Amino acid sequence: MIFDIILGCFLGFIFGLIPSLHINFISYLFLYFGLFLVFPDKFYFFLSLSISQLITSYLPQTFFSVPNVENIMNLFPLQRLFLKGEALKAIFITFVGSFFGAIFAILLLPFLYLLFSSLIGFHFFISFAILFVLLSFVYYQENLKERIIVIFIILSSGLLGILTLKYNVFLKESLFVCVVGLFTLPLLFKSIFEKQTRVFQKINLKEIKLNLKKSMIFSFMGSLASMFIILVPSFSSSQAGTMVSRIKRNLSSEEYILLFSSISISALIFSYFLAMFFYKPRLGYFAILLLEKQIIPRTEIFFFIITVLLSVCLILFILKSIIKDIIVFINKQNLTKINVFILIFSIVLVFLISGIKALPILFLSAVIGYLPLHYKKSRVILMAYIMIPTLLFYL
Amino acid sequence: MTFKSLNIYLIILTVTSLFILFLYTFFYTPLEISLLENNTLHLEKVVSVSGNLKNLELKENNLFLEACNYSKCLKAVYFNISKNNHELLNNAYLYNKQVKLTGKYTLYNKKEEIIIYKFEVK
Repeated sequence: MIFDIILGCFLGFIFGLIPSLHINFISYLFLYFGLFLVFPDKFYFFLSLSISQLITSYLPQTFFSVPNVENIMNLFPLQRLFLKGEALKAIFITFVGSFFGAIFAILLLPFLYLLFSSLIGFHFFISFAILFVLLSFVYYQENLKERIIVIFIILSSGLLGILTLKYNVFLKESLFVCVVGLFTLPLLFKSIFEKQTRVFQKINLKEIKLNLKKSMIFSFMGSLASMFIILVPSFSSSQAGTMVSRIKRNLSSEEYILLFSSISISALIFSYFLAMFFYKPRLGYFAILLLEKQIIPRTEIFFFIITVLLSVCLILFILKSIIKDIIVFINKQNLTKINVFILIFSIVLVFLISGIKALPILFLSAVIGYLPLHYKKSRVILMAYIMIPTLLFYL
Repeated sequence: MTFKSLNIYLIILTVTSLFILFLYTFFYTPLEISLLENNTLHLEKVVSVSGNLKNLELKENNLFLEACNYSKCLKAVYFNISKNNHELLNNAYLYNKQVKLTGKYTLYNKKEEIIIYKFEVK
């Protein structure tokens, strides 16, 4: 088990450093290259891989403007600190949020068990929650024009979801193609074509300080929000973040990052837990592996908890030891060139996985994904891509 | 909270987790299964099974054998067996003594088998 954790952490670290590489894609990659022959039935290996991939992916998200669909909301506060030359501080906050988030998520597991056991089969509750979040996207706009724009974005991304997820007859791995198109490409285009001022990042570790009490409170809030959000299919950590920020307004960048990194790691832990005990994976990555019968979910809660804690600690040790060197490297690089490389890499990846037919869909998704950026709206509304098909067909 | 204090928290949590894991492993009592029952529910768990040994075969330092209770047998393999352990199992086989095998109960080529971790000659 210890070997599984170490191997999972190192692979997760490598995958996490590759910008725009989504965890779902990693599971496809493993299936295509038959890596399950090398790692047959390694539940703890995949658990530690996904944890380390999630935490490492905060690095490319901070430096290359490339989000991961699980953490879209993290992007703006991370970027804000990046533009102030405080990328190191931003990353440190994600470390703290992930660390406490993982501990609180484990402490909340018995409550999640009770909550899920009592709410299982309540489709009305799930439909209501999805509808409520979709309506709240519209309701919180300032005027009629803004509301019409948001409705248009929701409907177009929802329609894209229906056509590619439910009535998809020609496209392979449509979810991957649309996730890249909706969330990755628009930001890359924006960062490449907009004039950028070069910001040198501070590298003094001693300057970075966080309030311990505040860190724990916000991490706990993140885990708590995640516990409710994980009950509803199609909801991700982004929606949990939106909900908390609606309840507790005027969050600072630090608080945002603490909250969302805690939500993300908690959602991942809860998703594995639900897959183990209720066979209900809320994570695409895990659902793919279960569907292909590549891993068997275990019910040894003790080993599950130990794996989570050790994986979080190990990956944080690794990242802490190299983060300063990465910042020094980033300070020397031309980020626009790297973003162009990532853009080409993402398109090639889509072409290799889904073929030439995927490119028009990729372009269409990118256009829809660009709308919130153009109209200065939260990109969470693009999650209507998954929420609307779930509401209509998958409950 | 600083980088240095995060280091301390990480070390404390790692050491605590490893210590708990060690305690759990040390005091773990494996589930005893009977060869006469259907045990598929316990697949991929560490179990112990008692029986008489049959068909011992040493191949490249790996000992393949069968633990039997009457006509019901379960295949077992002991990887990288030491000379001493091989002799002990061989004696148990020759004198038809009962042996308690502890190991991972798993599937190999769709057939149940035990990967032996330790054994006890009764």
